[in-house]
Amino acid sequence: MGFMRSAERFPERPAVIVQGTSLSYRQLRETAIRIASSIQAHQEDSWTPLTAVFAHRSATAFAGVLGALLAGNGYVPLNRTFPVTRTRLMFERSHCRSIIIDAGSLPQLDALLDGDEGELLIIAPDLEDPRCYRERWPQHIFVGSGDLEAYGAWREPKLGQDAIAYLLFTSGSTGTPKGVMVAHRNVTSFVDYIADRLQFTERDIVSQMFDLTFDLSAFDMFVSWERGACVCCPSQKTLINPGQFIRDRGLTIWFSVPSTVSLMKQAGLLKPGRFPSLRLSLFCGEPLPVSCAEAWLRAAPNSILENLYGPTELTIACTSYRWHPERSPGESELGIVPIGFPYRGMNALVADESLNEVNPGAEGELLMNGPQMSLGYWRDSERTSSAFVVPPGRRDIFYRTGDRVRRPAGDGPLTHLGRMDSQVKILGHRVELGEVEAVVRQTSGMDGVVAIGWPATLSGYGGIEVFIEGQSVDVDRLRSAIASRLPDYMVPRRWHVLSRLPRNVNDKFDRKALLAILGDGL
Amino acid sequence: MNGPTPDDVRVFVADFLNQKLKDREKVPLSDLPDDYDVLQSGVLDSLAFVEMMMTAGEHFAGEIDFESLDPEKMTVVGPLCIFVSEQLRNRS
Repeated sequence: MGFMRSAERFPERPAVIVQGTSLSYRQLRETAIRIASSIQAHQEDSWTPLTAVFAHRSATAFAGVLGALLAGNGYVPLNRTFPVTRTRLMFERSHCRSIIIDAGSLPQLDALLDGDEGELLIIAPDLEDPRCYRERWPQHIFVGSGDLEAYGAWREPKLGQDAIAYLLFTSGSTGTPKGVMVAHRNVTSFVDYIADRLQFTERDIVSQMFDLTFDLSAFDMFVSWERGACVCCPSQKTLINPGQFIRDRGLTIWFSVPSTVSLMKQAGLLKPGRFPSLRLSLFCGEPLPVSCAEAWLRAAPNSILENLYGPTELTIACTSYRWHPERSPGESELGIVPIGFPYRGMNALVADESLNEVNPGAEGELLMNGPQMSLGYWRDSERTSSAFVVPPGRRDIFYRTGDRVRRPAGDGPLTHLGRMDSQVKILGHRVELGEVEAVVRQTSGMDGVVAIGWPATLSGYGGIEVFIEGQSVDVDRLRSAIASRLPDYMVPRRWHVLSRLPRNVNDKFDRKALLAILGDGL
Repeated sequence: MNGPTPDDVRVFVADFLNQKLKDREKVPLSDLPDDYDVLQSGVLDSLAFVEMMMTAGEHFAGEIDFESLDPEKMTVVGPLCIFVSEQLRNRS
């Protein structure tokens, strides 16, 4: 593991700055190994080799990720800013029998554990005295800070070919999130390539803008730790002024969704020359508007800018495009920066509806395979086989990204044109509209429900609006019930109740007609 | 000197928060204490906070300099209202 090599080489250099405190590689390794030893001391052979990390922007979050991995388990990130019902669903679906939890997430522990009959191992490194928890939950094993196993008790795990590094839940169309299994070999392939190509060093200070439940957080941690760099994690408060964060910490590498740039631009935070310390600026997660790239580079004049692309199923990012001030405006399409070229070993296929390759210059769905292609969906062979397919005339499995791209006519870059299906981007989050519809249907008892991304923005949509077919719907009660089940960005902003929803010739709900209604300002 | 007083800003902030609270059917804030932290209370996240500040600029027809905003203090209602009032009065 790259972290352990860097801990040997740079023990006193900072590995992470979080909650205003700097932890050296030596300090982080010690805590992570003691957590790993504690898992190994209690874990039974019958347990699923996964450990939940229920922690948010804390030292325990980082030590927990490493602790799970050093124990030989994959980590399953849980997020206390999500509705607890969703967190619990992810936890139950993962079948984890061990949890690492930080102080800020402890108040949600009751709701997470309620109804769980089996024995769990709960490691709370921030908890000095776990007695009250042991009394409340006698069937579970609680490990507080004083109970962590000794550093020397750790045994280096032997990992199989397909050992899972992390299981990350993404939005699913049936109303339940689906877990993407990303293997160690996927992450290793990505990290080896990208750390070399971007020349990360121990002198780099890297932003950590993504929550653990967003897979781009894995980039920040694993690429930085591969080369002894420092991961700098801002608090929620610091995030309201990202410009000050860049300057105060002297960041050398920035990585965020383009929405952050858009917001900083609107707030007047991208003044020319403001971020001279940045040598590299990376964006991923949603389309990057040309106007944002240009504004960013004016503020960060010493920086190289790259636009990265990649679904979770292809491990963090699998293509990238380096901005060139003269060439790039001409290579961009619809005002969006190209997604560029596949990473080393990754293959791209732009295909039509029958999954046959389209002609050069034509548009189609992007399919990819290679060493970063993940193992599929956790305990869901049906959805795995529908997304991971062998196209006609091919022998290898490709992942269908659902993204519409243009196949380069010559040696140019891939350009992203939007989504093939009903997945939309809301503030950088990938949302399956079908999931929103499913939850509204379940909660309202109404069958006719259509969710639509609205209004369109350069980077996706500003939010979601929902149409319900019915007569008397208690919208206020429904909104409240939905807000307890979905993250904020998935909760519809406006609700429209119509006695009948428009349908097309095939008697399917007519989304275009509903879009027209929204366009008319209903 | 023109521009809003801290009390004017307080009314604006209360309206903005109530709108957010109303959407989620939480208890409306009719009386906003000085030490109320809009981030820690969970009513706003960092993006919504920036949205509120930009809306305040539009509402009072002025411009707020985000560069001088101290994230550690400005999410608390008392200092926030004074900061926004000073910003808008100095620039009007």
